[in-house]
Amino acid sequence: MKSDDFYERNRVTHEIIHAKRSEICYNLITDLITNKINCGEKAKILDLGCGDGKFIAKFGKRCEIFGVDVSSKAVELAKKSDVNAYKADISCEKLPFENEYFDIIYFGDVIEHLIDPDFAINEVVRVIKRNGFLVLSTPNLACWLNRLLLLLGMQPLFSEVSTNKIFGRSGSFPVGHLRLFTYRALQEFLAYYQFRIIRTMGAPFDRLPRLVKKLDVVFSRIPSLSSIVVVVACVNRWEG
Amino acid sequence: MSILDRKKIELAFTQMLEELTRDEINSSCTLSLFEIDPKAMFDILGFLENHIQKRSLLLDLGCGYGFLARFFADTLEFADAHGVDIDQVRLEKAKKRLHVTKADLENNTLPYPNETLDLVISFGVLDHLKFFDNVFAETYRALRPEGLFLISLTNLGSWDSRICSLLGYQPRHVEISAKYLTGVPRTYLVSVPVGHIHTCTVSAIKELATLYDFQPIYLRGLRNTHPSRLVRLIDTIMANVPSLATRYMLVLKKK
Repeated sequence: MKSDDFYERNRVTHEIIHAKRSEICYNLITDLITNKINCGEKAKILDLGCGDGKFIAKFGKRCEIFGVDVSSKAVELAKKSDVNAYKADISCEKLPFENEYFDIIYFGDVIEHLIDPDFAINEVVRVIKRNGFLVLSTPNLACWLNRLLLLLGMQPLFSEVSTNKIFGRSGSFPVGHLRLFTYRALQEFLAYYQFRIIRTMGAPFDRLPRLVKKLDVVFSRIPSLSSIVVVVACVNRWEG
Repeated sequence: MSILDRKKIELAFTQMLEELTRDEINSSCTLSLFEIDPKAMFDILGFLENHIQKRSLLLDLGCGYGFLARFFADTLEFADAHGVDIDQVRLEKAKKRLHVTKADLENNTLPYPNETLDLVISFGVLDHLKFFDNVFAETYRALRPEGLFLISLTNLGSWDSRICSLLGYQPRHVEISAKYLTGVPRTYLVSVPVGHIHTCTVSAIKELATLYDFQPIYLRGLRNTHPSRLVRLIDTIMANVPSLATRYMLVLKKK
């Protein structure tokens, strides 16, 4: 199945699934807007993989909000929420913005769906301002539960190789994850692209059995063990 | 398989290696695995020899330069061997060994009518795909009833990946970048990405195969090569337990 078709049919709204993660990202971005960005005019925020645009629309009063998504249905919905939304497949298409344009780029639980994260992150590097911030979240392949699952030979959480069903563990439906990062790999990946991580937070995964979820909340305090990792990174470029 | 046959296979294998360039040999991980562990090769060929019903057409998915398909077809005495691949450069070279077609295994249908193939082989191909569904669906369609599908694949649940994961390292065969190998310990031989997207555990691929109406009938771990003697020793032991092996060969039978 082509990824376009997949996302046209299964437009995933993270708002509902990852309430806690969205809350953390919201707080982090609010903090950045209030304390870090002072450019005189309204800050420009881009949501990569914006979905229906509900998340980024929350910043509509204080910022200029932009969104990009692969699904045309999502782009339509986002436009209704007054997001400047564009359709693009960020794993192979250039972003429709000029260089060094955004103060904040929000890349929330999207990078693991991309076939070519290198291409996407290069575009992020191109369109982000030199004093801009990247807020990125992604599931953690080496979260505490996955370390146990894989030790026992079970397919880790978040990992899937079929668009029809989840194999090797219990799970309701595939969401299209391709490349899963461990926290360590994410750190090295961002460092390679000249980003410096200034803040890391863990977030629990909401769709777990109740008892496991309680443990997950505890482990979410340790980013390398938490189910979802959220990082704030700034650009570390020095042009001589 | 008799000892005489083994000698014949060994001879054919050595002859094949002599004809290949270094690039061609390096293009196939399976080839080097067969080189260090010929018993794995005898085992799989012996198994196929005993279980193949008809020997008219063999198809290699992701055939590369085509030598493994040629070797399997010759050894198992197939009347015809075909290959599909996405890489035009390799296909040009494969032409002299096989009848080849260019195809994208992720999106295209296989250029064969229903129930025409007797044996489909694929060596280290699925882990380069986004999703395995099209390969399973198409192979099922094009195989004859009781036809066989041989998959050789990296194992997400391999002993080394389990240790990596436990310690918070990236498992080797879940690559997140095509340029830079991130998050894996520095003990691996190949320190650049090889184009793997993701892979699955042995139990997951068995489940997946069952969903597509295949029956797993043979599973064998493969051992890998490494400069450290200790690692080689552990790997050799682990290869006996397919779910812990770094790679494995799985034969599926169309129900």
